[in-house]
Amino acid sequence: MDVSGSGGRSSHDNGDACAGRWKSYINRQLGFSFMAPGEVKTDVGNFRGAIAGPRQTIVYRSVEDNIEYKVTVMSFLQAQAEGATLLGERQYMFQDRKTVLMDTFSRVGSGKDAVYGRKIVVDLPDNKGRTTGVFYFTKGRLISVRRPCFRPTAVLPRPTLTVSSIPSRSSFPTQSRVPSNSKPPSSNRIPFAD
Amino acid sequence: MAAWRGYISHPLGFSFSAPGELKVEKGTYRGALAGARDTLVYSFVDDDIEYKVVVIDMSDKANDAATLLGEAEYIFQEDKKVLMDTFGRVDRQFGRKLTIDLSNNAGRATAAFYFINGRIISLQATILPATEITIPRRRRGSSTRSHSSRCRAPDDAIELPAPPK
Repeated sequence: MDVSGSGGRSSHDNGDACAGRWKSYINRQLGFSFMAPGEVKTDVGNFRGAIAGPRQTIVYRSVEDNIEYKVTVMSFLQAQAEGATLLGERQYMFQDRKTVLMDTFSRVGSGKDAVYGRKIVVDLPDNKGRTTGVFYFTKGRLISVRRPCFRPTAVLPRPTLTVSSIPSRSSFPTQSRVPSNSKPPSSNRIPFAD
Repeated sequence: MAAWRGYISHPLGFSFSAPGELKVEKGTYRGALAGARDTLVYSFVDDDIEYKVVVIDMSDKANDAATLLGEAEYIFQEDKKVLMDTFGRVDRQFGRKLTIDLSNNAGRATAAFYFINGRIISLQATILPATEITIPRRRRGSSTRSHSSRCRAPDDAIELPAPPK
């Protein structure tokens, strides 16, 4: 599942000077890939939800232009049938007590390979910026892609890519699944956090 | 207006309230990911409002719960005018609530979607076009019940009948 479009990469970035700095990253074991600018650092973190309970997370982080791009993965292999509620709780916590600017369907892939999630844009409290979050639950893992804007002077976030809103099925851009036996050009294997 | 009554299904793990006479029907559902599915529909009509509880068995694909639920929500609002799309929560179950205007002035529908015990449970209320829409009516007292959580069904809730063979 390529969640790159859901993340922070702007459609305006395509073809501009920044585009060259974006790289593909893939984690075959976790079954997803994404694109991010600059160097990606892997870390572990923690998450706690009333339903999810305490969870260790794997965090892939990249910073460019004062913008932090973050992909967080949580494993719920033993609770896959609870995926809808776990995903809902994660989305709810993301927007809780914030001003929600957008909350819409998000989808990666199509047909039988589609993965449905949600894309939410919020204003952080105390003028701390604007954050886009995209959330999916697939194959027992909750994947969230976040791109906070830390610049208080930022007027608008860069428009996020492709898999965001779904005006109609026909116009929905297809994000292709990463073939199991190949990787995209210049893609980098992302390490596991132990 | 008919009186509202509580209904409960212990095997399916949910309860709700609805007015009028209960009808149990079978229906169909199709999604690209879910495939073709039979559905169990509990329906009521009162005061030109149609109330439906649709149960879709997804137990063979329960590990895809989040995406199956997302697909059902998406299909419900596809090509419709969305008036509301927000979190829905009953006890420990997170779902979504959507209100849409149906195509061709066919009325307005509100639906809540949950994934419980391997099934999509959708509680829907459709205001038929004959009704003048002022403020969208809300379903009253609809709730889901999971066996592990507190039951909010009224004490005199009626056990839902088994689906027709």
